[in-house]
Amino acid sequence: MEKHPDFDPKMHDWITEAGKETPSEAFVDQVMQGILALQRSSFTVRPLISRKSWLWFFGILSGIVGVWYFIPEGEGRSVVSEKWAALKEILPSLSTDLEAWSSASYVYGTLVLLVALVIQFGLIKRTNDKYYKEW
Amino acid sequence: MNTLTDQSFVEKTLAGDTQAYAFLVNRHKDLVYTVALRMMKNREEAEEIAQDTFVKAYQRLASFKGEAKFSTWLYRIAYHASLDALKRNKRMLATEDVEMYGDDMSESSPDVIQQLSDEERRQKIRQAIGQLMPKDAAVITLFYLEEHSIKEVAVALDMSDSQVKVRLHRSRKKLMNLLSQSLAQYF
Repeated sequence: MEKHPDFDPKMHDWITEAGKETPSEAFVDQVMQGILALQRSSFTVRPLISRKSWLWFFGILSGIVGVWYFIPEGEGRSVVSEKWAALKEILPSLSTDLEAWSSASYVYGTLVLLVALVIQFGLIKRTNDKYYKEW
Repeated sequence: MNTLTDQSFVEKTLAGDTQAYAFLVNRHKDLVYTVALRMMKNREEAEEIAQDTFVKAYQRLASFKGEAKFSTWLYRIAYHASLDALKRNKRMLATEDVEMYGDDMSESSPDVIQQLSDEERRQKIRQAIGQLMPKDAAVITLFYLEEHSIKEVAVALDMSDSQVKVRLHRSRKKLMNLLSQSLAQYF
């Protein structure tokens, strides 16, 4: 030990005699549990399908729907009505239902549901991220 | 396993061996707890701070470059954690002001204290240390108990060498006075 005027051998003996304090028996276990909890909280879940892939997927899907619905074909008939007509030929028994289904309100309803589905994917992802972060 | 240096355990921990860190905790827990207790004056708080110290040290282990001793690095974390807790609780100034006794009494206290039983003497010394200012208690504990040099204490407690020397001198005198005070009944 570095000797200097303040070093007092008697004081050294007393402090040494007073000794160290001992924490509880569970001390080491509690520290290691804290470290384990720390490791868990920093655990991240990597999604199977990346955000970029999802964007591409929904971009392509929106493109197909757009092309299918908005590009007109022939006089006053869009691609969608052509497709419905073809579908009705394949499934004649459902022709009445398909007639109703192809009405404008149903098409808009379907689009709204599609948008809701996309939003739901985002919400599910956020919930999952939060859950795994807490875990 | 006891002969291995702290540095080798640090390297093992960084390589993913959690048990190596458990060994480090076990090796240093008593002194980290002692430093925290002598500053906080409360067992529950000291234990919490000592635990936090080891968890924080684990988090920052990659930044430990081995320039100072691992123990010095740990005490530094414990010391600052204790200071932060004291500041939060606004207890920095809540230490007892020691009534100064005459020099005659201080001079004779070493002889009197030697006459006490081991346990009684240990108790008196611990009580006296418990009444020191938090920073002084940390300085005197690391200097005399852990036998750190002035330089090491200064590094551990973020002080200059001269500040450590001043605190050592002051706490030594104060401790002597406190012991004299508690030994008054034996005079």
